[in-house]
Amino acid sequence: MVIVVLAGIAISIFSMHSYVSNRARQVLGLLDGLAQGDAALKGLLKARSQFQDSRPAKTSYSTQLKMKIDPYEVEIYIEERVSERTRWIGGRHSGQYRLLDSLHFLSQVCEGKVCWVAAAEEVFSPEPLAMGVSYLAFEEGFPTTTTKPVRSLSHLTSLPPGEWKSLVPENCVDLRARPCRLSLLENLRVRNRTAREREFRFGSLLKHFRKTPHTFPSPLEEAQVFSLMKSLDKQRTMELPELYWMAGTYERLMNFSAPGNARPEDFSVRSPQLVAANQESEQEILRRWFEVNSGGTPPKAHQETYFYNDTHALRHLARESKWDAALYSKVQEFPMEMFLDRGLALYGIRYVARCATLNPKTIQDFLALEKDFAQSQRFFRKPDCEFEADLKIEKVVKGIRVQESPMIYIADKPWISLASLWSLFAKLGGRPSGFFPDSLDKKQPDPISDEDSNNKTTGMVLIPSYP
Amino acid sequence: MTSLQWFRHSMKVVGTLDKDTQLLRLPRVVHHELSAAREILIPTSADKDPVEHFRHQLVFRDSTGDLSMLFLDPKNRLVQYSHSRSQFRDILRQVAEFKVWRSSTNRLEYELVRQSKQGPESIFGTFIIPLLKSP
Repeated sequence: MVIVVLAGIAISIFSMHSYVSNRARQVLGLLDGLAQGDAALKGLLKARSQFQDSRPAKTSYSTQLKMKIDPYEVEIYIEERVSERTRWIGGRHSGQYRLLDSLHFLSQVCEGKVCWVAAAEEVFSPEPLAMGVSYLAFEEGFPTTTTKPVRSLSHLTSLPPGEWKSLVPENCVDLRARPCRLSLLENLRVRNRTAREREFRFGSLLKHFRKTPHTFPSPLEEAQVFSLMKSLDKQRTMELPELYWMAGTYERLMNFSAPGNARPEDFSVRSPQLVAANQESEQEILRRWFEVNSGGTPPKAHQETYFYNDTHALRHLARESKWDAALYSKVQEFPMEMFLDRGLALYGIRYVARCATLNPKTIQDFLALEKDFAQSQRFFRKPDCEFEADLKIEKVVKGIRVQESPMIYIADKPWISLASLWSLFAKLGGRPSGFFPDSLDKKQPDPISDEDSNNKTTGMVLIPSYP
Repeated sequence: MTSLQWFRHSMKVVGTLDKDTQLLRLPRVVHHELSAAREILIPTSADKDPVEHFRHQLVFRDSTGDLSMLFLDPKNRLVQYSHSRSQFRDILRQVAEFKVWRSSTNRLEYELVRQSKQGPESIFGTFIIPLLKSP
């Protein structure tokens, strides 16, 4: 018995000792990992700068570099994807641009058999507008057009040893295999997308915690924690699926209404900017794109999660998203299904509602009114109204059809990208998709909203839309 | 008789060791929860004297962007709340006190106090948040 007890004590002491030793090793391992992660990033950035200085003339290729950053062996895999389609971009430096180019970097740093991985993706975009609207407009106001196209390094992710294997299929054992690298990059994108979704979903909560020192009592009931977090998280807009990236413009949109004394015809979309394409040679455009000191570097706060899903907010302007699948099967055709028709007109909708509970002041009110009427008159109808509830909508137009314009302007300020706006309206109205007709009568400006003694409400809202 | 007394005494010693081991395991459990943390929101880094300005709750954002809160509930349980899932999870029991402070931008220190028959027992831990790198 005594022997058994003594053995138990010995085992316990030995276990504790082993645990402490293991923990010490874990800590040392962590510190080493951080140092080697730095090496991976250094290698990656070094390769990037080399790449920038000597960009080959090819349109799409991949290459590998090996270097020694003592004491580590660094392998860099770089793939360039150059889209073959072009589109017209207006603005101060208007011209014909390629849709989207990107460079994928993958760096593997090995010390013996232990390897750290860092990945990055650099995207060249002709349109700083989109990311301004998507990510910064809410806090920083209207986006401004930079003088040069944007190049941004994104998805700079450092993975500790072995972690990359959890992000790729089981049959991927070596990053030298291209499918494995592409799979890893894609999974990192997904991870970053999730991060950014939540960044915006919990936007107001994060803002509170970052800017306001909070002191909560202890202990806390679970119910207290729940209500506390909910109360701080006011940003309900983020709950709209697929629209989190539009957070900034959503706020503006909801507050947008015509000035009280303005007539509807005072609002117009800026005149079309129909400038002949191909004014500049392709070489000139490329030179501008790849100029090192181009404007529009991403703000630090968003560098790690700067692009949604596939690289750039331009993606969101595509009405078709099939090129996700095509991306890795037909790289040469990438992005094969991107659709960037920017045709737009601003429409006026004149409505006459009878016995309506809502008296629309904004576009959101109007869409709610229409939805209520279409779905159920129970919410639409005033309970004490003696007339039959009714809603008549007449399309009248004000605005100039825009063939090519990336923006709606309010006064002199660019407001929102167009496809995004339409998508937003559709969502706000509870409609998955839809369009307004393009053949419209002449304008009939009316007062914004008025209610007479017969319980008739008339008004007019302005809705930008694709023709 | 003597052997029974010895056995009882031995079991008591083993029990004490077990509790001590549990205490030593506390940081490991907490570190496991913090392993995905990428940004600490509470305590803030603005506190001038972090040890004096400790907090009883730890709020952090993980690598996927989810927000979590570690806090002590009235039943002396250290609980984790995940905001994205609106879910609570018990991390540790019999915790009398939980204090956390930041000693530098990405270094977190904490004290866990467990109430035992010998009185309060404290264990301190430190954790480095692997911040995301930027070029």
